[in-house]
Amino acid sequence: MGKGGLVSARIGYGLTVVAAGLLTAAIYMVFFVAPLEATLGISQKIFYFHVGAAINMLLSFGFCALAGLVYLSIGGVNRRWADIADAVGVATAEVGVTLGAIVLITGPLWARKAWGTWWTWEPRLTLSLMVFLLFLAYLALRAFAGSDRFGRGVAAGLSILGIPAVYFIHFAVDRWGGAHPQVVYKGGLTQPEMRIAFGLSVAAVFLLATTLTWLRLTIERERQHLDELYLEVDRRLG
Amino acid sequence: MMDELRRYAAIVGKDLRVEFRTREILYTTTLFALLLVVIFAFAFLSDPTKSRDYGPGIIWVTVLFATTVGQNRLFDRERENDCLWSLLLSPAAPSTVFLSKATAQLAFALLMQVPTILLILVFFDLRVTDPFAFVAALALGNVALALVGTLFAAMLMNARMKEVLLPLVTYPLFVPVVIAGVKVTAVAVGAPIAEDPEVWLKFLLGFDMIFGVVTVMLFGRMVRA
Amino acid sequence: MHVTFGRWALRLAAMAFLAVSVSALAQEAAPVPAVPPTAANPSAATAPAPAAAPAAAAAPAQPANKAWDGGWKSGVEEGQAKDEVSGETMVVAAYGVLWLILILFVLRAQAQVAALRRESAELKALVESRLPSATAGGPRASGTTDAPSN
Repeated sequence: MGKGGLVSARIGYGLTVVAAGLLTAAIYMVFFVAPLEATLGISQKIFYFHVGAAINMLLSFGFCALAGLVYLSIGGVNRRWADIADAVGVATAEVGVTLGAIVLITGPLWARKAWGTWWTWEPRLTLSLMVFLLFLAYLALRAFAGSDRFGRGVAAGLSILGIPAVYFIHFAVDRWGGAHPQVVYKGGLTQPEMRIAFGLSVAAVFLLATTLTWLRLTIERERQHLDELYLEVDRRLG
Repeated sequence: MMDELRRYAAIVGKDLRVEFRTREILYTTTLFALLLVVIFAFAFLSDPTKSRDYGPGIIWVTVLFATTVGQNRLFDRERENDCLWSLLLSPAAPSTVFLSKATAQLAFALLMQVPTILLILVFFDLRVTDPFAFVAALALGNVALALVGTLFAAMLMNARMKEVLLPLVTYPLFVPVVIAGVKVTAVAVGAPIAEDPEVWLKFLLGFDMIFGVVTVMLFGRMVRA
Repeated sequence: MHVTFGRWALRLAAMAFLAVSVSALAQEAAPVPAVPPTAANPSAATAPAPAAAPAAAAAPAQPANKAWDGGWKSGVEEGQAKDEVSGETMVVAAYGVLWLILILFVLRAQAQVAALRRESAELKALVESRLPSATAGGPRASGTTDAPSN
């Protein structure tokens, strides 16, 4: 256990350093190198991290579903993998909610300048809202349906169902406003510096999300070990 | 295979028979749905000429809410008598148990919706111009609601806050069903929108097929967890 | 516990945030020039040294993009309604919210670590009170509660 602690601490420190570095580089690029966009001006700068957060939120969702899959398949047999999978699920869900909150707040702030209104049911923002709600439902299940094996199984099932659901939601929401998919804003990334800044900010948010997931994951694993210890103590000392 | 079908029919028959003895789920959910329609009428009927715009939405919201109320009660009897575990210990495969409960829930939902939707059509002065699309949308949509709802109703049977958790968990998954259902229903009552009901009906069919497979597989796994 | 690299993350995050906000505020303070500045003459009152050099380097690099002329109010073009709400407010609000949410996450993680520490101390006390003869109660219990904390 001690050895594992040191390993995960080193990974944690490494991730933090890389994430901080990338984040600083990305912010620098966004504000001081990428030029202002012609129509929107400074408020277009929100776009870089808004989309970065959205992409990584979807990635988190994918990993949460993968963790759910592992939990229900291997975890049924191997207790250790079940615990790891559950911890990954919780960690990715919490980071996903965090990223989702960022997307859903920066989105309207950007839309207010771009389209003059706070919320327009734009398909991608609506999809982000739905993924956010699915994450919240997952966390609500873990919080209120019990964190015993049964409750965890339900949450895992939800995260797995979320994958086809997201696909169907994406299709439906795209065509909800009219027969043809409508994506209003392509990004306006006209200059190469903009594209570099965009790529850098997506990578920075990815590292950031990974770091936060790792942080939450290690905390959850400690929590699991502690719970096991309590049970063990109860068992032996009565 | 034939054995499974026979077991499936047996469990469905058992559920329907037990329910028809007291009819408590049917009566209460239907009454709730009818009251909901009345509330919606008071809330939305300010301009009767536009009823085709929000009528389909009201149909689907009522279906959604009333179905959730029914699903919350679906496993009450099983929970009180620990029947679900007996069912699972029986020779029936878990998928059979799941599908039979989902079928029973579907039957209750459809029975509840007949008077409800008739009332909506009357109150909101909606004329069904395309009855096939109208019925198809409701049938396919209810299958989807039954599959996903039964899965989580079973899992949350013993949870502390299941009445709130069930809609919390299932409604995000129902969003595409509602979108598709409202589109087809709107065309079916003659609303002037440029939508192709075939696309959305195929969408609902695809949803049912994919979620049918996934929910059946998940039930077995989640129960064993 | 080994999860306190969160503190380092907080420090780095705070430094980056400070750097960005200081330079942003300094840019705001600079008056919007009537004529776009030439390459040799970026606004003298702009941000501290690290920001001024790249600004000077960036300005002449895009002559075709007339947006970067030292001022940020040129973004709203004709055809769009002039809003009272300015773009800068939105950007500052957006990035501020982003950092706030991240910091809240890290603070919550720290609270969870503190709770874990407290509970494991309680467990250790419980075990030691029950078995005063043995050293901390048992191989498994001691092996984990005595894990290196840093």
